[in-house]
Amino acid sequence: MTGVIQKFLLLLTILCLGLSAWLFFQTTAVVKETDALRAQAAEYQERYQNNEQQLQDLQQQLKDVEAANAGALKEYRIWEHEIEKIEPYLH
Amino acid sequence: MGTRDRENRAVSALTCLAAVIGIATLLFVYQGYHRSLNEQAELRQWLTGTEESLGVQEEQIAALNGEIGSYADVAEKNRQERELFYAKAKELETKVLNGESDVKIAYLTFDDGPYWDTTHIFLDILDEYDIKATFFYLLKEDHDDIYQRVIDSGHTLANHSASHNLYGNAIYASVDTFIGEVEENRQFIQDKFGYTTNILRFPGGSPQARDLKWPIVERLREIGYGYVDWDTTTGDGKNSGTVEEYIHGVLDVSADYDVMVVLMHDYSVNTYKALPTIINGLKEQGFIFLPLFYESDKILK
Repeated sequence: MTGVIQKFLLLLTILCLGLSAWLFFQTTAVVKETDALRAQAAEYQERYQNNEQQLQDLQQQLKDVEAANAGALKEYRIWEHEIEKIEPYLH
Repeated sequence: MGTRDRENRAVSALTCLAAVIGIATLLFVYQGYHRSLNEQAELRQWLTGTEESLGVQEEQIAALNGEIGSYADVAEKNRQERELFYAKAKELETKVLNGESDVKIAYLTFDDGPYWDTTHIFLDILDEYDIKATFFYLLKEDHDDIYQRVIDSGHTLANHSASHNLYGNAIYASVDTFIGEVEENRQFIQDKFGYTTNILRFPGGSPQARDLKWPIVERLREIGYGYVDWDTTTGDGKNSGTVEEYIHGVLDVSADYDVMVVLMHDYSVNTYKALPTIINGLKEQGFIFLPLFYESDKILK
């Protein structure tokens, strides 16, 4: 093998090792970022589940409140309707 | 082979090996880098999607909270709307009484109920015509459904004493006896239905109280009550007239009034038979129908 090829191989080795080192540090940075994103994902997951639970609770609460106030609401609409009926005679 | 050649070969072998190791390392590290990037891209995509879902969820939560919150003061809103209606009814009544309106007002009133067999028929007719009236009721146990329907339908529920005992004018034995009856019935309606009455019709009408009328009116004022008699009636008090007589009893005199209180009884079969004709006749004469309210000029205080 000629000295030129040997030098080329040596340069190639140095280049590969240099690139590998650079990529290794890049990977480390990406992994760090990914870990942060994973933590955020875990937080989102928990928030999503909490929201789901809260939505179910609120839907139930709304049903209960609607049932409890059905009479009052009906009465409210009666007065609204009675006002509409006499309003034209006031102008 | 000389020593130099052997050294040269060894160096060549080493440089080849180093190059292979270098390339292998690069490939290996690149693979890891690539995998990490892919993983991160997938995670970012998931986060974006989840962020949108969270936004939708949180909007729904806010909407539900708002809807639930709107019920918090429904009783207060209801009270305000009822007060607004009374205020407008009063405004209209004043206009009519001052001759500033073409329309006339009829307050249909029904005494002595509730009755299991007939009251619902009256309520059905009033519903059909979309009319609110006033029911002067006594204290009757086991008639809860009827009291409740009167209240829920928006009619005025008013006090007609607890017993209506006119035998020997017993209910007017003294001011205290009479006021005791009024208070007993008021308490009954308040406790059972949460409804506050503040209008009274004397059993038999206020003249029936004779000398006690004005002392009773004074006491009624003290307990926050007003009273009303009537301008015209079907004449169904004895429950012996015909449908035609009841119709004429109202329609023959109604033209004389701009604001009129009509007395009827919800036990009378002929009255409910006459009621649609009475309503249509009054409408043709330009009357509209309102439930009585405390502030009305017709309620004497």
